[in-house]
Amino acid sequence: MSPRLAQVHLRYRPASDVLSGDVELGTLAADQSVTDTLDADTYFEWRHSTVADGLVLSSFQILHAAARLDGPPLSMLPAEVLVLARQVIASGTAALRPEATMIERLKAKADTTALLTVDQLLQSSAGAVATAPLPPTPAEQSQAGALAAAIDQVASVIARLPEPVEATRTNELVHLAHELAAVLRETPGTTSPGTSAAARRAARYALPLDTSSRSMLWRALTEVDDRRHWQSALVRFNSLAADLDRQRVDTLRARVRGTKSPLDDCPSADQHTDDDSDD
Amino acid sequence: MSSSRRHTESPARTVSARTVSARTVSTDPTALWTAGVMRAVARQLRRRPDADDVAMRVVLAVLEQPAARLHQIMARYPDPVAYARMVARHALIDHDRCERVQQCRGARLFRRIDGTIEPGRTWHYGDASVQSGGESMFDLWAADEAPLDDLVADRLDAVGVLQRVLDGLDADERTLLHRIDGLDHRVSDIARERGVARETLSKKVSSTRLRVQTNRRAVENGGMVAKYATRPARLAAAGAAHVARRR
Repeated sequence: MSPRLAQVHLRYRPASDVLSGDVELGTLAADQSVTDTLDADTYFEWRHSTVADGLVLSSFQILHAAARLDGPPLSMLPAEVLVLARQVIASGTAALRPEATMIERLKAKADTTALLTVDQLLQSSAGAVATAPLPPTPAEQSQAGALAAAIDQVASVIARLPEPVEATRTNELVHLAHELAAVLRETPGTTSPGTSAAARRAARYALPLDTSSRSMLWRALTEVDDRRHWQSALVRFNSLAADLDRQRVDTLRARVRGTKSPLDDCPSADQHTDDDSDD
Repeated sequence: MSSSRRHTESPARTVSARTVSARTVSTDPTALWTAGVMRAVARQLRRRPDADDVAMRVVLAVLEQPAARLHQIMARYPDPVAYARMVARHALIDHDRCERVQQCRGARLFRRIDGTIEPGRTWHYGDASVQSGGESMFDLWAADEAPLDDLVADRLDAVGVLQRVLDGLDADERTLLHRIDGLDHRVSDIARERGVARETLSKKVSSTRLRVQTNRRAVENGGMVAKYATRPARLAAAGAAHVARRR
């Protein structure tokens, strides 16, 4: 019996953290395709296999792939492809030289090609269960706008906080939070788990946030991935924005007076390493 | 299991989120903004397998701008998603055009008689008879839309119409259309070469094309071709109108 192999190409761009892949199926699958867009950050295309029973992966794209695949595995992605994806992300990241210019970093790309059997590319039962979400209700659509505004507000407040450590992570978090807000605003009712995972990862590092604010931000960024929890996330983001703004004012006042401020007690980069789990 | 694997980069290794993030994150706001644009374009065009290549094209086009212009763009579009939404469509057209040129299929698209759009141009080649008799080469290979005689007659008619339509254009307009539609030069390149704004040249091309269409209809209906009014002619006409109004 022939091995029924298909060539899988994976491509990863570390600067934008975008992973895309396509499979040369040839006659192993029918022309008609089925697409899955579970959220704003993933896209999967499947074809009906002509040699096996079920849908076989044809192409995919994952945004914020490193952050996304660092957590629990995507149920849609076949296990063998997931292994390849992690490898290409690792090699793409390792190939980035610290002294590379911005253009070099943006152009950096890692490729992998592998031969997998059709069985290894079949949609898993878990993936089949994860069907497209229901269309958003009008209430959810209006909630998306409010949520986006609240996230923008938190990002703006964080950007204005007096920075006791280095600004790298803060800049990254602020950009990611604005991106998350923009995606929610642009496609109301769609979640963006990749952007929120990347924001959570940025929030793990040194930021001018105390422990409770950091933990609240973490929880809100987790809740934003599920439309059922948007109301709770909205409350958290609004509350966080108010808290952080108050802390900012207190810190500035304390600095003028020469006393110790709440934000001066923030943990440094070294203190926030691996003890912050991904929940 | 997989029968073979090939990696173009270093072999696989376990890289923690910390290492990945530390290597890829930049403090530069431009780098963060451009990465955001790349993701937004890729998100917008995600149905295409080469979405990340188009995204790269967008970002490189932005980074090719002088620093002042780049900062101007970033100030005008602080949200990379908004910027991506604006430029993605044109970047996609540019990308497809380049791909077609690289594949020697012609940069532009034309509409076939059955309504489908294909790259390339509508060419009718000379005929050659088949030595062993039967249909001519043209009928065999190219004339799938109409009989050869009709195509030749149509072609001659079209050449006659084109000649009369072109009489209505001045030399510069003819050169402009030839470069853009015949040689696939870009409007922005010609504008840069002439030292005029792209929008100005684009307007001129549009008005010329409009006149070509109007003239074509006029010729087909047996009417007269509207000629390009030169500046002295326009001034003379304006002067005559002014004198007539005063009288």
